Amino acid sequence: MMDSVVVRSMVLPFYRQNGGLLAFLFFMMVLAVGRANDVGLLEYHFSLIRGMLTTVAFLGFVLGAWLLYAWKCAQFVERLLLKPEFSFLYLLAQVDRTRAYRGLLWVQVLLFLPVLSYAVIVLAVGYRHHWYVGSTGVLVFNLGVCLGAAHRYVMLVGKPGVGRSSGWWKLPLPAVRSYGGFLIRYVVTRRKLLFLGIKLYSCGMLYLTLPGQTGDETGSRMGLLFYSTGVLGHGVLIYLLKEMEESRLAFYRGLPVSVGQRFVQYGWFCLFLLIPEMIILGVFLPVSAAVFLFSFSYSLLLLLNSLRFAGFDRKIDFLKMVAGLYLLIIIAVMTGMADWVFRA
Amino acid sequence: MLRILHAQKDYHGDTVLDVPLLELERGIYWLKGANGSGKTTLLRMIAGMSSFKGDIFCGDISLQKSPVHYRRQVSWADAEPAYPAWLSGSELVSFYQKVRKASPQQIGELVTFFGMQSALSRRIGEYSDGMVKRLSLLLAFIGETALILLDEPLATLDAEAAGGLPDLILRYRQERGTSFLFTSHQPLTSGELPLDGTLLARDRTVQPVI
Repeated sequence: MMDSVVVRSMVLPFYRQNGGLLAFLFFMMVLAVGRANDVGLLEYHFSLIRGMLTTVAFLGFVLGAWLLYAWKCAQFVERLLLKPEFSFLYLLAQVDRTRAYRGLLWVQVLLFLPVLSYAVIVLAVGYRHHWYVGSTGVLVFNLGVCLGAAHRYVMLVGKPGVGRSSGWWKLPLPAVRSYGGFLIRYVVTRRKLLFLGIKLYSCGMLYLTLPGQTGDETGSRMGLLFYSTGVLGHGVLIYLLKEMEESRLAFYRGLPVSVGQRFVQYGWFCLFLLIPEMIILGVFLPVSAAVFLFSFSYSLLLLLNSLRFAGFDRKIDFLKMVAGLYLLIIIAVMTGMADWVFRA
Repeated sequence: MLRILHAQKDYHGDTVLDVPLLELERGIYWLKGANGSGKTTLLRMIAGMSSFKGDIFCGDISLQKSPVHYRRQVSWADAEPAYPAWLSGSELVSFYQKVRKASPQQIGELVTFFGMQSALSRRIGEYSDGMVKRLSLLLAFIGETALILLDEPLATLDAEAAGGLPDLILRYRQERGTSFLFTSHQPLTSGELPLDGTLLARDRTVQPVI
């Protein structure tokens, strides 16, 4: 009974909060790949797993991404425990430590389920093809994450009020006086993991799109498609931003600021989000192609941001709209409309 | 000073507030009503925080036709204010000062009045509920607005701040000509604050109490 309450209290809110992000990733990794990739879904994932288990750098990149997700889970639990409505969870400190550990390990397994599910497939493929070193690395990593996280949760419930690391708060952030600055501050303090994950993916895919990385036009097309998923991935950030604005920055609606000035603030914010991509574009691409790809990314972000105000309030509606945009991009790329970028 | 014309607020198809006509001269007004009678809804409509059918005028300025100009005339303090925990109080105050074009002198006076000197440099996430309330009141008084809306201004305030608030209202009324419309379940007047009228929210509308 107690375990069930703990699991429902800690796991359901996580998926309620992050359901949109996970559904988006699932769509991009499974449904979109099936549509966009000539070689098919299974072959695509097989080549992905092979690359992961036979190339150290690629394995490191994937484990890094999984670690970010694990960190996100841990942060969620820490914040949850600090909320007054979940203070009853500290009762776990009064039950047998082994039992509490077992319950919290189960919580971590459920939170980490999206990664664990894929890891099981990776392990099955890896051991079948005798890629023992990489497979064992994946196994040890996932065991370590789950056992370590459960240990941390047990420590947290044993010390009520202790939790969220305060290091970031001590960093001297520059003072902000503009609305765009408020939004940027939100991203770099409250959504930094999500932001980092999106940037790693988006910039990585952008690098693959560069001429000479893939050797042929088909590879570049795929790179551009995956880069597009990275840009559209910012939609998750933008959706969360809107939720925050509704609850914490509602006062802005009552201030005497024109629509034009409001749009400029969002414009600066979207520009800030794309700084890493701008650096890659500026360094590696000729001006014309860089301008095209930047304009594509920037206008897509502004469009996502504007659509938030156009009735796409519900998560599912927003997700459908993002999926629709992605299908349009697939059509544009696969019909060769953007090929001149690769030849530039 | 304030004219509400055929203002109607609907939630999911149900009309929760319908004010055919309400006119208020400059002054200090107390909006009364039971819980759920629509007091906060009305204040949010007047503040331009919530969409509705009809129109509201501050002087001759229409909220629907000149929303930016209108919002320069009106400010508001929420009953249960919520601000970003990752910002400091001074960042929000600076933002309001810039948007409302307020003088540093006014900011200094308000900060002193609300006893926020030492708290402003801290993150709002570290504030108590009472300090957040003080901050929201401070922000509402920034600038030269013609009308300040205060929703339950005494809620969570300590006795010192609650006792001083009527003095500040009176000073703004006398020195700057600012009008006030507030809701409160407790008397705010303390005998020194002359009310120019009382309004009652009831039966999905708002009317002056004669």
